[in-house]
Amino acid sequence: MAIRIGIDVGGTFTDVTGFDEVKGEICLIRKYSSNPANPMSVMTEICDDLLKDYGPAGVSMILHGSTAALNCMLEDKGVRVGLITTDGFRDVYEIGRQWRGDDVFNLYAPAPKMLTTREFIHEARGRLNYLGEVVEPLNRADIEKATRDLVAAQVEAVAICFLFSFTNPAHEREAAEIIRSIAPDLYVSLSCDVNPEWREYERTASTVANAYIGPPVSRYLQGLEALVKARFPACRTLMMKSDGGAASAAMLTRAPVQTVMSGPVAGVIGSRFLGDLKQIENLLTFDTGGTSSDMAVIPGKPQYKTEVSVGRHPLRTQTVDIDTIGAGGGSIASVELGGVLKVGPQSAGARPGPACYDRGGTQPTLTDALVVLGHLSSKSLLEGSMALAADKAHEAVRSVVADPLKMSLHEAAWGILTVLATNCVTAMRTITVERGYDPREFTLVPFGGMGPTIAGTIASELGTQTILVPPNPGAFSAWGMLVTDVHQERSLTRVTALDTSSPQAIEAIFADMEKDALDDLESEGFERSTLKALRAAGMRYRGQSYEVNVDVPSIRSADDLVQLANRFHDAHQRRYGHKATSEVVEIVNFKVTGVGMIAKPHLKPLSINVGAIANPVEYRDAYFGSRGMMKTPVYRRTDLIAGAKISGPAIVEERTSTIVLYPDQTGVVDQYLNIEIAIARP
Amino acid sequence: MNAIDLEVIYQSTLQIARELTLNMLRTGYSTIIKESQDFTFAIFDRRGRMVAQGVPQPLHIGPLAAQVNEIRRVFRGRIDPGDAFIVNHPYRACQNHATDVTIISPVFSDGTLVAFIGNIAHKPDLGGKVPGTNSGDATDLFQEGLLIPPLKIQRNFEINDDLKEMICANTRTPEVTWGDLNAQVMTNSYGQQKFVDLFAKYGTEKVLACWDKWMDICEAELRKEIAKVPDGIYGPESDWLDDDGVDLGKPYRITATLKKEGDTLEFILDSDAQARGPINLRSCVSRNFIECCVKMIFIPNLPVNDGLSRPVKVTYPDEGSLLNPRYPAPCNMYVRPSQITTSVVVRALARALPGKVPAPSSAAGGSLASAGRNPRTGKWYAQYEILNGGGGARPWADGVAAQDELVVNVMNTPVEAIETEFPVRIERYELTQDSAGPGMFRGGLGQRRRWRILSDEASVNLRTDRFKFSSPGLFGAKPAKPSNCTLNPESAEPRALTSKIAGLRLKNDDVVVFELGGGGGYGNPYERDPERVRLDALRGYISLEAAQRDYAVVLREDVSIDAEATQALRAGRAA
Repeated sequence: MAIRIGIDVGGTFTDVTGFDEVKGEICLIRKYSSNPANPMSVMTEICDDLLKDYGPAGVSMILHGSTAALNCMLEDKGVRVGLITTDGFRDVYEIGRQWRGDDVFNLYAPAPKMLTTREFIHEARGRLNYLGEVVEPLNRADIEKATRDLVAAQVEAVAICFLFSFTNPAHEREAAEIIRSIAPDLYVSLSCDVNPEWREYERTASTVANAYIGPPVSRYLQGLEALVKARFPACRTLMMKSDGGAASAAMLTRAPVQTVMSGPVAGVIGSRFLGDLKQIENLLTFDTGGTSSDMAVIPGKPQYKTEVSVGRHPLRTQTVDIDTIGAGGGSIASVELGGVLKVGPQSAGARPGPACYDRGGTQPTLTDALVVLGHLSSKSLLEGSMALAADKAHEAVRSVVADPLKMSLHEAAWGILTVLATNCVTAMRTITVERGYDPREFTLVPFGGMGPTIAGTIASELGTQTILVPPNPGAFSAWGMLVTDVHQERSLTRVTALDTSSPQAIEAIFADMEKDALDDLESEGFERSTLKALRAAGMRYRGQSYEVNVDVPSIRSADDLVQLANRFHDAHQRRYGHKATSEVVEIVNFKVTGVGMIAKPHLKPLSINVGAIANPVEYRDAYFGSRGMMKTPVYRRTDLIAGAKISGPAIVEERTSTIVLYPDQTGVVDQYLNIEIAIARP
Repeated sequence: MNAIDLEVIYQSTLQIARELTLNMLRTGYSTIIKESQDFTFAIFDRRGRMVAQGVPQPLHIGPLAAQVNEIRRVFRGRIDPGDAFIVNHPYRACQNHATDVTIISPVFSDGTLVAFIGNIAHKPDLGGKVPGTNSGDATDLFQEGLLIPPLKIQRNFEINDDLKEMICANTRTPEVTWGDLNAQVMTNSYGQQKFVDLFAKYGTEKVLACWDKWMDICEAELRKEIAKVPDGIYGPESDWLDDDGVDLGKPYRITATLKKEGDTLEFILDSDAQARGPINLRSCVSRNFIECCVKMIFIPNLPVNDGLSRPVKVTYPDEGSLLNPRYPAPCNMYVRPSQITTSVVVRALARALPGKVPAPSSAAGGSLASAGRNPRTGKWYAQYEILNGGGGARPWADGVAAQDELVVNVMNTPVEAIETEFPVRIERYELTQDSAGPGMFRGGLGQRRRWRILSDEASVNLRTDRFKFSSPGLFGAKPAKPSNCTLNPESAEPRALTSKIAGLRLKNDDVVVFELGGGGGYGNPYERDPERVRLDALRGYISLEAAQRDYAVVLREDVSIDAEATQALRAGRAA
């Protein structure tokens, strides 16, 4: 017996999902309380429980999505960092990009966030030009002096970022050697390792962040690996990265910054796996919990972005493209400006939580509104494990929303749901329209505790025709970790015009990066033959200063280059609505992802029971806007066998979530126990 | 109108404005659209009142409102479904300068005109005397590019090809310019369909009623906030532009006085007579950024719509003034007087709301453009960088270094991108020590950039200000350091440049150093916490001498505070 474990650490709860590799089915779903102050304590608790239940040989692999790196940045808990940079460029990190961005109407637009202060930023002479040629040799005495000063100032980590190090890392590597010879215990982070791409501010910021979180995150990763090894000697421990791949602690030592967005990506990977299984191309994920909603557009493949902002600090690292808004079960409703109903982004969180949690919260939240509407049980959630005080929900909605607006209780609760759904729908429209897609051509995949409860109203507003609700949606992110692969990324800026470069030269750059990435995977114990490499390029028309990401096949002939240019033209057309076939096309960034394939869980399809009748466990009154109060059947999800059909209005309760089918929506359970909901168009 | 519809319909309207912006970003052609995002969308109701806007360039909003009303006046009774209007004429329908081109499209519901979509977008070139059109030494409007009065560019969804040909014949970059214009027209059409859907879903009258109500809400909230300010006259506050780029010895004064009465604000503007050079400022432009400042200060979290302008009155000097120029005075360098006017307006507001308004920023922001032959390729190149001075001090914190002015929002260009593309080496890009305006809270530092030219044929245009004057700060602060620009500073014959230079010829190995001024300080610098002064010195933001001279804090060589000497010095200065 071998169990593969996914562990998703959230702010409030930690979800654990186990997949039995022999039986091909989910064998455990557990929920633990997170302990943000000491994340290792909950991991210990989980591993001890697993050891008790399955023995030291029972667990083959643990995949882990952690907020360690993210929280370290958000809570300013990194180490004191020194930065050594090119003479004349001490303030690149402080100046940033000089604009106010979205803070255009903010009188007090903040400065770019810095993770160190200027007295810890030193300059060193030595200059490369844009080709990586040495204009001035590295001044070793400057590095020595900077190192001694920084050691005296008790820094724990040093970031090095020199101009044009992405074209030639020699100066940075030489500086690192000098530092190590003086202070071997310092954590040293080089920009040519962390992010060898151009634009010095973003590269500097990423390198400083990496140094800032490096020591504590490395300690956490190594501690976790030791913890697991002590209990399950043959178990492999892997950490989710922002790009949706996984990596071992050893692979992450140089660039722990790659794990910053580790949390929400697994749901996207899991959704893609589900879509592939069901041969659905276009997916829109909707992951809603207590405080926020994460959304991603997946047109065939997950989309990536190369820059994210964490607590107002930019990080350039390959990240699954996910947008987050402040809309969740705890979002607070209020009446503002003498008569406008607002919901969120403030959240009641877990404490005090929604009024119906009866922990002292008095402000009405989305969860309270759903209790009033009858969409959520008035008695308890999570299969009875969490009791609710419906009267508190009624009181909060009545006193804060219904009475001031002179509405009925149900109209007010419906209003809270409608306003929150509008916020979600506008955000989803934004992320699809921005990328050149029409949301109506997508299948909505809701998960998280609250996603399936409100997906019905969002899908209708968005015009999508199908909703796909996976089993155990509340623990879906932990499940998504079980279907990921091990990734090793390489990226490199080399501005290369297709018209003047040879196929051999371009192939050689990719081949070098590929070898490097695959070597690393081999040292992780993967057989070379099981490895693959994905190539991509950030490309542009000459003169543009933004790039479009294009997948790159192997380049052998001039014809391959023409094909590559055509791929770029098409991608540009999709993203920007036009192309310019007569312009010179350039590759700016070369990207390689080495993939160590992990055997995917083999889900066993169940046989479909045609015409299976589902029996509700009860009927309750649920309110659906203009349709008013409707007598609505309530099903237990475990009663719904493959092939079962249900018609809205209907409510399906399960351990991790509650699914609501609106009137005019019909659901059918498929052979993997997903519920596919079809939305009748008027 | 219930509370739910009020929120849902307005959020849907804002979403349309957002999608218009995204669609324009997606389909626009020039880097001005795609990277600088130098364009703005706004939605207007049938009476020409602004209802909502997309992510804006603050300087764009006012002209749009003025132009929608001009279109309504000129084409009264002749506005039909499928029309689109074009205008860029700074005087016929208020515009910043001719390279900003506006497209306005009517929206119909059941055959009735119910709304307008307007967008304004900067063009890379529209003719005129220099590439890029905007010439620092222009002396009349006709040197500043093709002038387009209000015209129909589309009838019954068909582009007027004659007009298209006419425009394309008057730009050095016809493909890009028309590509952007076409994207503007097409994006408006996209928006029209979205509005048809919105009106169908909620009913036209309900949507219009929602808009009315939101304008009223913003107006009421603004009046409520204004009413909290004590009645009175604040100011006058004056400041000066270095020169107009033509008559180099002559500075230009700009003055603002704020009259606050009940729940209204009146800004009384005054200035010297209009300039020969292109630093004149059209009234709709100044009105607009005054409204932006009012919004930022009084109702930062509310949407921008017509309600915002109702309690605000702006009074201008007589026609023929810098702030009320007479046709055809040139105006292409309108950002310079905009920045100075913002400064005096912010200062007047700060007098009215002590503790709530930051000190003015440097107002030094400007551009340095160079063009020439690239020896690497043998081809002509053109490079353009926008740089900023320091931000103003806040009543409770220091100003931000090298941050965009309140009315500007553009990014700098990375050094690695510049050197990769252009024959130039940037030798320094850093903050300038002692540039910030000293105060209890100091301004943000200005930045210094040093270019070495690596081409035998290059010419440089400088479009900036603040070489002679600087941000004065507020409430006892000392003035910040002004900007300067020097050619070959270490040579035997260094040359100090003036703030507006057109076509300066440079040769290989020439060095240009541009230092931008700092932001204004807030409060008496002798009351600055000595510990803050020590940290500033430790971090190199100020020198030890400046600590003593500007802040009366005596620091030892090891940057520790000499408390006794400081106390004595401060006591002496106070007396």
